Amino acid sequence: MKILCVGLLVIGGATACLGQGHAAEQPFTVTISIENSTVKADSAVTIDINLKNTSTQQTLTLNGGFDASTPELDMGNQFEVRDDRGQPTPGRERDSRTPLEMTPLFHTLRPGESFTEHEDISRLYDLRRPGRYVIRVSRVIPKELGKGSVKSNSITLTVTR
Amino acid sequence: MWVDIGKLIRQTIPDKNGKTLPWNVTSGSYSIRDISGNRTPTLFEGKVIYDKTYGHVAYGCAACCGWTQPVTLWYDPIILTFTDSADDGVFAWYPCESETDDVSSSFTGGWSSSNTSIVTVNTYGVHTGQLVSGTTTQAHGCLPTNDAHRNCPNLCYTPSAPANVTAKILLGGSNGTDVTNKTTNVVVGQQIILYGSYALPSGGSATSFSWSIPGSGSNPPTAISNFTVASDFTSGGPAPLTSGQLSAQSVTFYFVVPGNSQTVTFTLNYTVNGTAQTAATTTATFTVAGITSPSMQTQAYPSLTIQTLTGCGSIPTGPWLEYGNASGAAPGCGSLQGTPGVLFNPSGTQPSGGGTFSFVQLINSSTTTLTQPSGASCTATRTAGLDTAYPYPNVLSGQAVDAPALQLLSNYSAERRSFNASMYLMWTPNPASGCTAGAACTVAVPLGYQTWAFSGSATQNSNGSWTASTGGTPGPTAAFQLANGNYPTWQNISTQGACQ
Repeated sequence: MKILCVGLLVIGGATACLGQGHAAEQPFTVTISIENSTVKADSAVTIDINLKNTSTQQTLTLNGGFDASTPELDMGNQFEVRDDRGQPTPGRERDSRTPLEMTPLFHTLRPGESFTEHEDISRLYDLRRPGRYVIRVSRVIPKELGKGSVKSNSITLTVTR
Repeated sequence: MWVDIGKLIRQTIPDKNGKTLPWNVTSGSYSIRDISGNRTPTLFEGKVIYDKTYGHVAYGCAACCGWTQPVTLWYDPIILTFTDSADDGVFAWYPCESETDDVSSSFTGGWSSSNTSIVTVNTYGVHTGQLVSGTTTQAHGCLPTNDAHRNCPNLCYTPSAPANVTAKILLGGSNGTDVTNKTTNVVVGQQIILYGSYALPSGGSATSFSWSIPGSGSNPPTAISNFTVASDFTSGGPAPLTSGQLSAQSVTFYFVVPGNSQTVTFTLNYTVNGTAQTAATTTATFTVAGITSPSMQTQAYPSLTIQTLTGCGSIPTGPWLEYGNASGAAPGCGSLQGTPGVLFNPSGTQPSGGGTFSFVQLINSSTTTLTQPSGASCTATRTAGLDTAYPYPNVLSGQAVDAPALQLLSNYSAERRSFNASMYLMWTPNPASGCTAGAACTVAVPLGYQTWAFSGSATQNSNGSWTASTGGTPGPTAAFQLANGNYPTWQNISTQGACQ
């Protein structure tokens, strides 16, 4: 098996070595869980997002970012929230007149290493309407490692009055 | 006693000080001491004439020399920890040579304790502490005097002294290692559990404990209870040792600054049959190792730049005012490539056992001013607090990097930013061998911090493009500061407020 090493520049400075024989495999996994699967409307909804480097050899760097107005949310995580009819739940409107003030974020994960983020998605979505919601998270695969995104498992949230 | 002086000279036999008689000596005074240990006059003095021609010796008269007061025990008082043993003995004044001699052998078999439930003492003066308390021990023995006219008679003595039994300090808990009256090597950031171990006499009752830990009361404290960070990172800082923790039988803490001769004292106050006794104090000394010559080199990009970054989702592709020169995807949308605004490279020599560097960045101030084409403007201010997360996540190849970026919106004619932060360098030792406390085995300790800043603005041109300008020299505002126990402390994650 040939080993392809890609040297990134300073910010993405980690070296990633991708085994060609596993090019189709996802370089990392995203697993989500929820501490309280049933919450009352207007409650915070904290989701644990675990990012794991599935390689046994390569260190990888996952890129994300924080906006100064919502520093608890890694914008590298793309959420998909659907209601019990399967319809996408719209995200909260952000004041487009205020510029984003971002800090790039790099998760450097050694082989087999994982990292867990705790994010309150009620900051992003209006989850006040009682019902069931199905939540999934995806994350873009760094272009040095492939294309597309890695999708997480789905979890169900029940919102009560 | 028979001494062949000629043999001493010919065979160059040394005396107790290693000196030999000159080969050509013919006369002189002598002092011969019997070291056989029996209780007879032990010193003989006189004058000798050595006739080398005929090989005979003539000698003068002899006298005895013995010991006088003071006759004392070695230790007054003798202090020992309970269940441990310590030697004691007897000194006596020896006027013939103006010195104090160890005459313990003359007191063998004469030792006794006033209270054997507290201290026992054996034939040879070996004391063993039984219970935390105090008593006296004494030794009885007889020594020859130097009264030659009365044939150097023995005179008997019974010196005595207090014998105090104190508690023990155990490292690691109630079944830990006895570190009482010893110097023990530890490492900053490693958990230290000390336990005051004791047993009291019948009718005894402990009334209070107290620990004196060097640095626990200083500002900043150099010995702490913990370094805690909320699970959502909204607060963090050192937890000092409380009076309650310092008043328990066991105390758990961490040294956070290296140092020698860090002496911890445990004091046990107690009563016996309701009567308060003299407090029993015990000490243990620690040599605390840490990073030698910690430092952090900073590489700062000289200017702010305009970068067009590729967006995703709700983040549009567009221009950003960035500290540094990185291009690619907008934050959260993929990877950036190029040079960040600032890069911190830690250095320092790690102690035996090793450990790991980490970083914490605190935002001291950050303001963003947005100006509309009409000239109206507003300013958004970030609260002081933690930047992003704990520990600071943007670490690549052991170096912390930052590249703050401000989105440039076409509805403004100018956007200005001013930013000031402190990057703390932390170090966490590897757990001590045998530590079973999991994550509590270690805490991160602060080594130092680097305050840095940048300011600048972006002005929109008539064709919609943007021009960046940099205020002053971005990067460090002062030299790297050693922490000396100063932890990064925050009460919230730094958050941008509304533009007002």
